[in-house]
Amino acid sequence: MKSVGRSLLSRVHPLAKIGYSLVVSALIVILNQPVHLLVLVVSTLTVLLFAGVRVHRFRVLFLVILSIVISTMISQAFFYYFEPRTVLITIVPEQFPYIGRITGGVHLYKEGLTYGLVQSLRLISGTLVATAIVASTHPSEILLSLKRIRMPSELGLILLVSLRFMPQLLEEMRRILLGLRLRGIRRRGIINAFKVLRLLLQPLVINSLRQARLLALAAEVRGFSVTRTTSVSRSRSLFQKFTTIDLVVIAFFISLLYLAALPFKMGLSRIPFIHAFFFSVPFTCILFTGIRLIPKSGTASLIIIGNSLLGQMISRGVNPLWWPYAMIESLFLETLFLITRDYVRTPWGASAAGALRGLVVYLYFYLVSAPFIWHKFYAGWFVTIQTSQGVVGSALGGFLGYRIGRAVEKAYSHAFL
Amino acid sequence: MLKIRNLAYSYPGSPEPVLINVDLDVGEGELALIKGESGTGKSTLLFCINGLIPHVIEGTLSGDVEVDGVKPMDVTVGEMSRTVGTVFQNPDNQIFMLRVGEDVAFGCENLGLPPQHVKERVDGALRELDLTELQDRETSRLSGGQKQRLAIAGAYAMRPKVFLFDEPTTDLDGKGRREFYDVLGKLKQEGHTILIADHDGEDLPFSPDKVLLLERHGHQEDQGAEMPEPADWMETTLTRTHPDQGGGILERHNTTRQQVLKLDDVTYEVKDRSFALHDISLTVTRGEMVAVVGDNGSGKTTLFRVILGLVKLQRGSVSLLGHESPYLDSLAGKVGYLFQNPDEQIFADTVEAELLLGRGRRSSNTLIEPLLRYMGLVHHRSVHPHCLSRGERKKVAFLSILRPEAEILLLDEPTTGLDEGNWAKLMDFMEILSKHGTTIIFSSNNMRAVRRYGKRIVTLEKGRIAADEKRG
Repeated sequence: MKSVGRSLLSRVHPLAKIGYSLVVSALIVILNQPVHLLVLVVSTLTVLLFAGVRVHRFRVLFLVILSIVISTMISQAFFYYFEPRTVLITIVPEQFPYIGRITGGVHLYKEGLTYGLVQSLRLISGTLVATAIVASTHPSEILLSLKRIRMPSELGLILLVSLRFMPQLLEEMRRILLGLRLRGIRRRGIINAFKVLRLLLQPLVINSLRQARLLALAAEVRGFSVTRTTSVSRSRSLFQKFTTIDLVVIAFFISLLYLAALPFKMGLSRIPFIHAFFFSVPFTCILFTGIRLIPKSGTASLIIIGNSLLGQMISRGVNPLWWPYAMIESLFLETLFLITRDYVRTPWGASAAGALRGLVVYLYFYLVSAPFIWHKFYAGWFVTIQTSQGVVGSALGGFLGYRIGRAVEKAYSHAFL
Repeated sequence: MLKIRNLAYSYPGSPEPVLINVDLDVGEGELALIKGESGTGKSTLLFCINGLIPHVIEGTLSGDVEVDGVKPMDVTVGEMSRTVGTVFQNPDNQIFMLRVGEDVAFGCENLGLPPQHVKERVDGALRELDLTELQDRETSRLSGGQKQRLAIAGAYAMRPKVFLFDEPTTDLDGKGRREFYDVLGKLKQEGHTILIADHDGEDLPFSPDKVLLLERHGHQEDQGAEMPEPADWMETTLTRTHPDQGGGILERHNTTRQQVLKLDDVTYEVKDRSFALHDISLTVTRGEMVAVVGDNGSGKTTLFRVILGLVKLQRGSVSLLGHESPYLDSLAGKVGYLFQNPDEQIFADTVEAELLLGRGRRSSNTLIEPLLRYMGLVHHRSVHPHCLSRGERKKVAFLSILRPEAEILLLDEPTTGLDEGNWAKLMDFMEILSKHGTTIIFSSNNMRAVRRYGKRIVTLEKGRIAADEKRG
């Protein structure tokens, strides 16, 4: 197995690196003292030095870390609610009409700044571990290692296809947008942006389905099937209800979700007050289009968990702290669709399921994940704003997913002939 | 080795059978060519041999198929893959793993072979297909020919007796084709039975031992046969100007030798050097019809991206219709770009809506009707474009870029996916547009089309202009 580059860390077995990531993730949750966390940062930074990261990447990393420190310190300085706390600056007084009364006043607390700095150390440790693993391990090595510890080969195929076709999808996405621009259709303005999203996703999904079919046929003639025994794993009953084409289509949706989230990973998510809405629309739209096209119990889980794993393999490093988040979202949607039996078949069903999805994932993030895992706190009014945006964005995304799914089905019903 | 008797097959929901009464006998070590136009059932026949029909693709199947004593209907596709290896048209759609060696192992692992046997077979296949040195290379970084060899190696490692090739050279350039035929010669020498499905098999370097010609049953593509000769018809119909309705598409441009495109000492390179152009200087005047040729990776598509101002140049400048880059949004409508894959520029729910997208309905109806008629699509105007055949989708994409205000058209492999009658029709149209002042730049691996329509041929080699020849 050939590794990425020739660094010392690249020669370490991928499973050992995944183990290292798990240990650091656990320490991030357990450690509370600033000194201990500082030691953790220094140790992860030391490991990173052996990962063969190039100098210009360190510059980018420095900017990422700086943005983490600043945004965390500011958010925690505003939302700090432990006592005692000392007001440094008042932005909105409590008596200020409406906003002051709703928020109870917006103040910047001295203790919050310190707390934010400590939280930054947690986030920086996570970022450094992720960078070290991503820089020194080819995704292929992680996949092969996961296969050796008996990851189902079906899940392996899904992750492989997602990984392999992501650059192709990105290129296809660029060309479709170029085609729209050349025909004078632009993204400016919110209404136009939604129109472009629909015009972009429809051909992208149809192309993906065509390609998925060819890939699935190619996999079958090379002996892959969801019901056979392989050299490295045995078939799992979990996948019995899916065909090979289903699995490949799911893989394409995982790639699409990853690509849709890219602008947010690259900085948009740090813009307060808007990202929850703008993130929820494309994410829910793509997810729900996939669920409509493969209306089976398990589709939502495979897309959501696959997307989480893919993100970790490519950019975030294997980090179990995010697993509960993906699992809660999957579990909720599976239960919902199992009860309603409406796999994005009606506009109202899709919008309502989208809205509920937004409610659950945002409340889970702000009320459970952030305070108990990341030790980050947010004011009630901020959580309300973000969650509302998540609900509205997800409802709209669900509706768009219904529209696109229906159009794709209509187009594709005869496309095999 | 292969025996087919009275084979008939219809796809689910289709009233017409694709295959009727097909009989074929191919002996051990023989090479059989399955010929026929698009839609005549060449791929379908291969699917009946490797078992994809009926195990993965349903439908109505009758008759007998037997390969080396095994009936595909009686065993799974996986079991059949031990006897029959299949290589599809586009190698990209059959490579799964991220590295060459891993991909060759994919099939063997699926067969449940012990790791030591997998390794032996992978090493053997890599050696036979000259891929040993590329074993650790990322599959995404291979050339078209190397990818095709990898796809064959993946099948080869499963040690089948019969190889099926479905239009194996369609997506390959000259170099890729040569590489493929070398491999084919080797397989033939080793005594494998080979079936190749192809439009005509003209390029095949060996005489096939058997030839099976398939003909179309049922659905006929609307050929627009009632139309008169293109030149007369278009001159009278499309040049008519309707001031209140937007006008025809031929009238607008004068044919003076005005410069429309100038690339001045352009150098562009991405970091991994996978796309590069070096020292490109090129001036194109109004109404020229320029063919850009070169092997895959020589920079043809990159040249189009540079012309459109989509990339940041390391050196040099580009001027298009008097605008300096970036100019794309201000030139929307004036520049048309036909992608190699038509599906990337089809957005609407009907053919008509597709042609009206981005232009006013009232101003364009008069233009759309004759265009649909000429391309033989008039009966499909209310049909969803994705329900059409690939060739028909290509025609829709082509029509969608034609606008009265278009002054320059860039066509990336316009003949791919079309049979000769249809690509000639499309290129005839281009020729007339160029005579009326629209500048046409097209890239192609189809040398017949290049020789027939290229009034100027620019040859690219490794990102440089190797030749720039004006023809009478």
